[in-house]
Amino acid sequence: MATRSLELTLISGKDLKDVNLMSRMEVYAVVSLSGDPRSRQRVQADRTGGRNPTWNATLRFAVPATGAGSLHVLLRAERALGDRDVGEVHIPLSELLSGAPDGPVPAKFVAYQVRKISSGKPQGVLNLSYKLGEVANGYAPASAAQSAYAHPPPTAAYPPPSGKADAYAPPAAYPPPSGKADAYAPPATAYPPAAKADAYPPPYGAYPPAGGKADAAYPPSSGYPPAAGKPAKGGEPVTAYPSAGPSTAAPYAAPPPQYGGYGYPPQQAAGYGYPPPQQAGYGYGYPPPQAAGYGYQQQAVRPQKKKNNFGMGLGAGLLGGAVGGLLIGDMISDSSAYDAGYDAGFDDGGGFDF
Amino acid sequence: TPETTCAAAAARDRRVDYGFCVSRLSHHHDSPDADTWGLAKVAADVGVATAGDAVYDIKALLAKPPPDAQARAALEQCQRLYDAAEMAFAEAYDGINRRDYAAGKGKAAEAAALARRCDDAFARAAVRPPPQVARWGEESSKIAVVCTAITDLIG
Repeated sequence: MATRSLELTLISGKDLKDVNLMSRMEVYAVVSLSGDPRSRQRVQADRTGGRNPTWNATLRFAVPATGAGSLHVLLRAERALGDRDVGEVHIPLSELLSGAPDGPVPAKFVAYQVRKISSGKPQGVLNLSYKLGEVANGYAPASAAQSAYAHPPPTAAYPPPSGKADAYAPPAAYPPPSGKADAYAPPATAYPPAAKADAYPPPYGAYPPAGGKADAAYPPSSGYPPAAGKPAKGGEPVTAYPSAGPSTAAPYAAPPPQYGGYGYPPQQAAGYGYPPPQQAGYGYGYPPPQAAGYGYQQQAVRPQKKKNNFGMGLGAGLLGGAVGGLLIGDMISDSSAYDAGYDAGFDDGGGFDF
Repeated sequence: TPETTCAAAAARDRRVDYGFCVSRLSHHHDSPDADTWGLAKVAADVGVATAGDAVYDIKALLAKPPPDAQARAALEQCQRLYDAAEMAFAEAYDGINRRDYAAGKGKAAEAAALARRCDDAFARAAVRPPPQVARWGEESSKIAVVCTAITDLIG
């Protein structure tokens, strides 16, 4: 089977659920490939981060080049009297490998919702980045490992954790888009529609339902602004897909025009922290020139697709662990409960006159 | 295994819902290689998650407060009650983990009692609780029973 190396860096967590009664949480992560207990790796706890841990820890996995299976990140709080679950993230490998060439792929930054174990309710965000080695057949491990090590050190590509954390905090994310939008009015020629269309073909038909789910998934009490439209905006940075910066120039045709259009190459480091809110801002409130708008609409739509994939990934993760028909049946039941919970909740919220 | 342990617990205590027990414990990542002690802790941990989910849903309901003032007040009380139930389940976990089984069982029972008070709050307001709140009440009670019964099997 063809494999490739996946170099995963867990950067930080944001607004995780506090599972400690009195003391500050010390959160660590356990990462594994679905259905492969031997792949389990642990990231040391962050002693000082509490609900917003920072790890900047890099792990390596050999994954199927086909993108089959998923990555499971389990977040736990380290406690003297027994560790406790904080939440988990299931990431379909197909999502990470989608559109990747057979050659090495430089670092990409992503953010995922952390979900409570068993119920799947969202609570917090996990920021991570990943690199892919080239596809290898036969003697995959050695070849993949060599490819992985040929890349520049991960630390060289990472902005300060605090900057990244700021970028993913919805309140802090809203002022910048306004300024950024004014400052980064791109020339139309920087966004050839054809290239953008090729890079990000959007499933327009899936957009409204996913948007609705985003609204449902982010009630104001979970830390997002109270306005009805805001939850959807807040959701966008979580699933934004920014490029890594200058190191991606060579393998990608799309990033250079984008950065050139901005006209601020020296601020690329800062750019690491702002791409998500900027894209969200453009997608939802700052219509740029037609060509540019077209480009950003493409990018805005993609996160919605990721949400759908995430749902599928959650199922895939559970299926990976299933043994026998009983468990499969139970999982179907749980899925029903999940849907019923959301539907019933918001229906009743509107009609409380019994 | 969850199946054998749940069967033993159900045989010992008729209040144990076998299907519910297997379903909830099997989905926990610690259950595959857990012994009876481990499964008792898993049950308490599931209780923490269940009460936490109730708090989550209640907050979502309060984000769009019901027009009935009594229903709103009942929901607010329920949020406090499930917050306390979540902590009680957490203390049940801690008790079982340090092998203080009496304390663990006591806290599990306390969690179930707190959840029942939510139902009482709606009853006093003469308002039917939202379906999901009623469901969390039922599940909290069931998992508390499971936790207690499995803890009794230890030893």
